[in-house]
Amino acid sequence: MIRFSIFLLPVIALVAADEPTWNKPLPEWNVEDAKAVLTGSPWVKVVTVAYMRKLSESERRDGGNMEAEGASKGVGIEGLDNFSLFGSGKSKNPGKATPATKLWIRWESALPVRAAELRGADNAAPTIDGEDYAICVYNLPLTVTGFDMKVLPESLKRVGWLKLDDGKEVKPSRVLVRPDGSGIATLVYFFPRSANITSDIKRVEFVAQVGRAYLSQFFYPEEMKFQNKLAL
Amino acid sequence: MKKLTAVVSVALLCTAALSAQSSLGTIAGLVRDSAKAPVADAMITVTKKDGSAIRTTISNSSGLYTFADVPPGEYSAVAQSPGLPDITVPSLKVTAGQATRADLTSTAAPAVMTSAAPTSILSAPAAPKSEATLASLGLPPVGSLKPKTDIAKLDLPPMPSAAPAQAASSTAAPQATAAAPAAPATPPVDNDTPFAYADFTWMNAVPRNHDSVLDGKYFSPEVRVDTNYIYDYNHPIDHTLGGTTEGERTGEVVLQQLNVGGDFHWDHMQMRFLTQLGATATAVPRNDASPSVGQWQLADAYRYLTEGYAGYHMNVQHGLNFQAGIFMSFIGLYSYYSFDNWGYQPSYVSSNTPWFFNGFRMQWFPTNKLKLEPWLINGWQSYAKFNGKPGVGGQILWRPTGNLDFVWNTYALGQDTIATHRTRLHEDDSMEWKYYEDPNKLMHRMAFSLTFDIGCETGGGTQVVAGEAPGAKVNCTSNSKTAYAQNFIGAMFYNRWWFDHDKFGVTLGGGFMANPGRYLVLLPPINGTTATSGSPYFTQNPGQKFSGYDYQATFDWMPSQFVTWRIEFTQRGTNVPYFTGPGGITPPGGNNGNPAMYACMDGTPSASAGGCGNDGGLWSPDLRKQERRWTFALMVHL
Repeated sequence: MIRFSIFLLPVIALVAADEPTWNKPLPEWNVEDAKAVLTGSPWVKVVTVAYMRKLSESERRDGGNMEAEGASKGVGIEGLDNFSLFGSGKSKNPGKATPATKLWIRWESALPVRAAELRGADNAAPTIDGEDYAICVYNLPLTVTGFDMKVLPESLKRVGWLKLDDGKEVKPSRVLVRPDGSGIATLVYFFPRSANITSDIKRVEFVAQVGRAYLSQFFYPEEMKFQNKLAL
Repeated sequence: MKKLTAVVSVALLCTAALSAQSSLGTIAGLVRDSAKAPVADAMITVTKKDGSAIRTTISNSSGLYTFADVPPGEYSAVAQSPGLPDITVPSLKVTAGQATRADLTSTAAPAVMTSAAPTSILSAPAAPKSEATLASLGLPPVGSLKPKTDIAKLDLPPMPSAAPAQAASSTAAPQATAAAPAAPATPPVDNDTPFAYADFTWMNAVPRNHDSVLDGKYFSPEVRVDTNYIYDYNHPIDHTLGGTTEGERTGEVVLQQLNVGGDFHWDHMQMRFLTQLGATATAVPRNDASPSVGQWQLADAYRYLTEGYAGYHMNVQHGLNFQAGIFMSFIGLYSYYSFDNWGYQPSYVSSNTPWFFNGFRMQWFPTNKLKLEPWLINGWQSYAKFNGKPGVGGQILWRPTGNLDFVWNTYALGQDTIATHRTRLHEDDSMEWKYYEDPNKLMHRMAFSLTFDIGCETGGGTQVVAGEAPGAKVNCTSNSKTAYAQNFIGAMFYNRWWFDHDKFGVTLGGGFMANPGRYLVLLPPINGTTATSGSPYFTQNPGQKFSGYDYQATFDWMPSQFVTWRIEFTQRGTNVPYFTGPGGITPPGGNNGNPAMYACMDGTPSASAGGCGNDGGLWSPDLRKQERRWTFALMVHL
């Protein structure tokens, strides 16, 4: 028994070491615990935005809208540099290179996230009404997305979803847009809890399109547990 | 406790004073255990009874909590704290401009705290954010900072070295960088713009351009040039081709089409125009007899435009357009612009069916993979309306995957024959399938297109224009004692192979048509014949059978996405003499201006075949049953 314990102790120590600091009763949380949740927990991801290619004129015409978000804004006559009857077969893309943009995605409705925001840091986090799953996209620079604010919420709702690993897609019931007035916006996607995401679902993909910006991020319910209970 | 109560009272007074002029109210109070001791860090949730709002906050070290700016109404409140049972106040009334006090006091002794959080907290529904100002707790507010500053100040984990490199690419997938396992994100896909979720430039009748060189904010110019040189084994003496809209002259360099125009777009407005200069400016409008009904020479007015329409776009679902004017028809699959097609000479199903419509259409995109497009148009490839009824029809375009395309075109109701009331029906369906693709192979892609058409005319037999003989009565099915069968059936199939990263393309295919009444047969331009004039040398009456076949072999060199050099061999055959033979189809001395009459050898028109006795005898066009030709084309699309 002693020998067993000797062997077991390091294992226990390792397990203990792996235990997230925030996985303890809320009253015991300090600012660092809250910070850990908001920066390095399974509910919070940092993603690099991928940008969709510009659409050609023909593609936009086929799509019925020459003003589509993927419109190239033109490069002028210098674009003709690419043109040659005996050309190389390659063309300089007239779309300007888009800077890499990193932003946060939080499973906002999860209890640890809410608690961390309350306890720790974030009075800028949006207020959430209702009983939906809520996922927030923070720090989205409006300038790089090129979308039309007038139609944005509805179009965001149309092209955002959760994809479960059983193939089921859950569409958002609504999307809120909170511009902060300085060119940055926070988006809140609400998904009905009737989707009933359980620990049996290994992976949930959050997909969102914002103008020409494309976000795709996986969440793993198995890891999204707070004090041994699924927290979404 | 008195001190605490005083604090609450002061808080209430302050908030009440602040909100006195407001349409909102305030809730404040203390959370206490059964011993009346303040409970810190309890989570308090107030819920509006109509379910329209839920807000949450945490009590401070004195057990104090406040909710400011609360909409008036009936609320319930619950306080949750580890070790304590839930403390509930079932009903609170919040009044505008006033503060409501709600102390939450436990009636039960505190339980022994365990590491497990109370179930009631874990299972709580999504709840709101803090009412408190938390910046004082040491972390900057996330949403109020610029992204780079945010990430730096909040000590986010460094991005993996692979991520930035991928991020610079427009096709890179986002990478997870938080503590979660590295997640393979999916590639970016445009799920909003119709038909932009995949690259469809492989398709027949779709331009392969990926870039828009001259695109502008309000105007997107478009320039197309199509030139050809056709070598015809029949060597017609008058260099004239007949029975096609994709080639007019032989043994010459021909400017087939020069199109200049583009799309104006601003806000919801749409406007598109594209000119039509070159051989098609006469070769296509001459197949439309409708301008002869009435005045104003519409053929002259419109012939130099392939497209010209105004439109309005609405952001309904994935898009809704209303457009009026002249627009392209995709009956018969192939584009009117050869640059977009896999071959130069399409089969009869495409060449003999409409290239344009004049009328009104709606484009509705209920999803990003489906377009529904009803038309109300003047007629079957007509600038004007032949008779009393317009044509109606529509297109359903469905691209369920990036490899598959279906298009259904339907036309009905139109009476598209001069001086008779024959109603035309037509169905044109196509599919395209890219069934192989491997970018790493020399021959990297294969796809085919299949088009099937069926149509008919019915009615006629009554006099429409005083003084003119009524047209023959026809029906859709088979000849009878009182009516001729007037129907059309045709199909075409093309397979294409791409080589060396789209630099080379090879297409093989062909098709057939059967038309017992010739109503969809292009009239050979004998002596300047048009659809209006008709020709005694090639009549198009019900009961006169016409059937044909053709096949093509096409080789394309595409050094850039804007240019195509094309070589194509075409063989066509018909059951009656139809194609221009060596003797040509132009009378000696040129057209005599009377294409509806016979021509004599000295150019004199004659009302009958036997009326040229004193004029050198009757001239006859040289029509053959077979045509073989090579087409060399250079096409540019910007």
